[in-house]
Amino acid sequence: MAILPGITYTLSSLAYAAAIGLLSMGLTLTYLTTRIPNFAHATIGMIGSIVMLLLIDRVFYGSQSWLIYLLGPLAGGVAAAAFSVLMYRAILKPLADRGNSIIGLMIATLAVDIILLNILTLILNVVPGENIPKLIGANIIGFQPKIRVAGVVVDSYTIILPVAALVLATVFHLFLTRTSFGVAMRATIENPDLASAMGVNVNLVYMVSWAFSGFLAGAAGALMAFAFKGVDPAVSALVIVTVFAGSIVGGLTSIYWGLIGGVLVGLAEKLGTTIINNMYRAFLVPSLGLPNISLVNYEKVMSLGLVIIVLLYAPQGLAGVDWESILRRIKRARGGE
Amino acid sequence: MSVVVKAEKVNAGYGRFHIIFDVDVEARRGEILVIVGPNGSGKSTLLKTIFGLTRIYSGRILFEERDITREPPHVRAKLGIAYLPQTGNIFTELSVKENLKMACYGLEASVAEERVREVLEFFPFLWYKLSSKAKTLSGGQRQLLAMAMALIRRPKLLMFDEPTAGLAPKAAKEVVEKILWLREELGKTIIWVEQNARLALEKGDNAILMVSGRVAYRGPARELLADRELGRKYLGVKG
Repeated sequence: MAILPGITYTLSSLAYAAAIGLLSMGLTLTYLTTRIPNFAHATIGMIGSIVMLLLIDRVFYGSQSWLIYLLGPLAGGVAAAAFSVLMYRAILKPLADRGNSIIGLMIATLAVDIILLNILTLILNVVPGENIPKLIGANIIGFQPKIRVAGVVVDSYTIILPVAALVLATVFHLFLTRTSFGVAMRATIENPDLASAMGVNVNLVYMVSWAFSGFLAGAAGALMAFAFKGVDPAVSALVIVTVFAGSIVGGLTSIYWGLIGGVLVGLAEKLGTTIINNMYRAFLVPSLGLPNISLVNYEKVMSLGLVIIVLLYAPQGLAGVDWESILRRIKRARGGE
Repeated sequence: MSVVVKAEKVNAGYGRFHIIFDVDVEARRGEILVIVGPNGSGKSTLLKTIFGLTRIYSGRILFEERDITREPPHVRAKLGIAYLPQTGNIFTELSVKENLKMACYGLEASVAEERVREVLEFFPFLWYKLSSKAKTLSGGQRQLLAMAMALIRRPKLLMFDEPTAGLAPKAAKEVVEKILWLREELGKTIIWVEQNARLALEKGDNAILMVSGRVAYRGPARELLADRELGRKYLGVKG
């Protein structure tokens, strides 16, 4: 029995990890700017999924055009960003202005999550009856163009999602380092009072951070629709656990580490669980007579286990690790050899 | 001399914590107004109130005769008020160049470039530190960078909150010299909150003594320095 999974599964795991990375990056961003842990983040991503399905169903199904991979994430991202800003301006900011604690704001995001979940379910149900099965599954399976990688035919989203994540992360990095507003956003994250003193409208920065966060979630959600072969809003309740795990592994102090944390947790959930399952069934079951069960359904154990292990050795998450010192030590050790 | 900033019967604090009571303060153009007082007397809160970082329960703040009581800090900054807090007055995670870029926020590119060149002439050591992260600067250098950032915006009023706290004597001397230079050479109005009362009162024009959130003395700085009773009781100044 092969221990390492095949190329198709590896690529779909990478795609899943890339989407979790984008979601964790956005979650970390709004936590850094407004200190609100957003439990509605994954469901906001589902807005992107629904926009993607609607686009396929109503516009793209006949054409099978690759343009969907550009327009889907863009439209899904914009819709999710709009909801994210609305949620911040209409609910979270007024609550924060009235002196509510972080716990209160966190519970408010949970409430929004449940309300949004119900609204999205309702939207799926009010679509004309004959479209429901298409919208939820058949369309997307029938639609997706395939790509050949190393002689193997794979779903195109498995290549497009990691590339999209890299592009979005790079664009966001350029925005943060090359534009005045991006530098202002970094400055506001570090010291909002001082940023204010420099003439920065910090409330605008907060709002834009919620817009970016929503956009990243919506874009990831739009492409994730291909991974989930449709949309089930209830999936967001499982995804949010992984997204939080990714942000916490990253350290919640750097958006870049949020991205890396998300990718690592996503990979651990998919590839890690499969490799452990294969090892268990290949070695432990025959040699120790353990029950021949599949471990792949226990993927959340991997992500949450990784959180515990990382926090035990790096309480500030990966962002808090002195990587320069570790690299110096490795170089010294190599030099000694 | 015209009045640059004026606080009238101001009551302010943080949320429900009332810190300053019925405070009247005014700073005239080109003067150094020193604010001294024991720990917890409300000196820093007064500066923050003028800059809009506290909650004002009653009273009003006027800047060049315009009522700014309800204006947010970024608007006050645009009007010409610079606030330099004791700590956290630069962005340590940004490079020196990015800090200066932040100070230029909202300015036209050509104006920003000219202003940065100007402050680099005032603070030449910054030339060699432009690409360094600001957290690598010494305490004195950080204060000078904070001053450079404030000057880029050509403020009319600069408010310093304990600028020499925690600095080595040589660095503290350099910072004080720059504050005096701001007034002498550039004609800026300065409000200077200082824990080292003797140092500030010797250099200042007028002074305010704050005790328990109220103004206990208002007048020439040297007269406060000469007042043995107030000096001994509240400022630890002997003789």
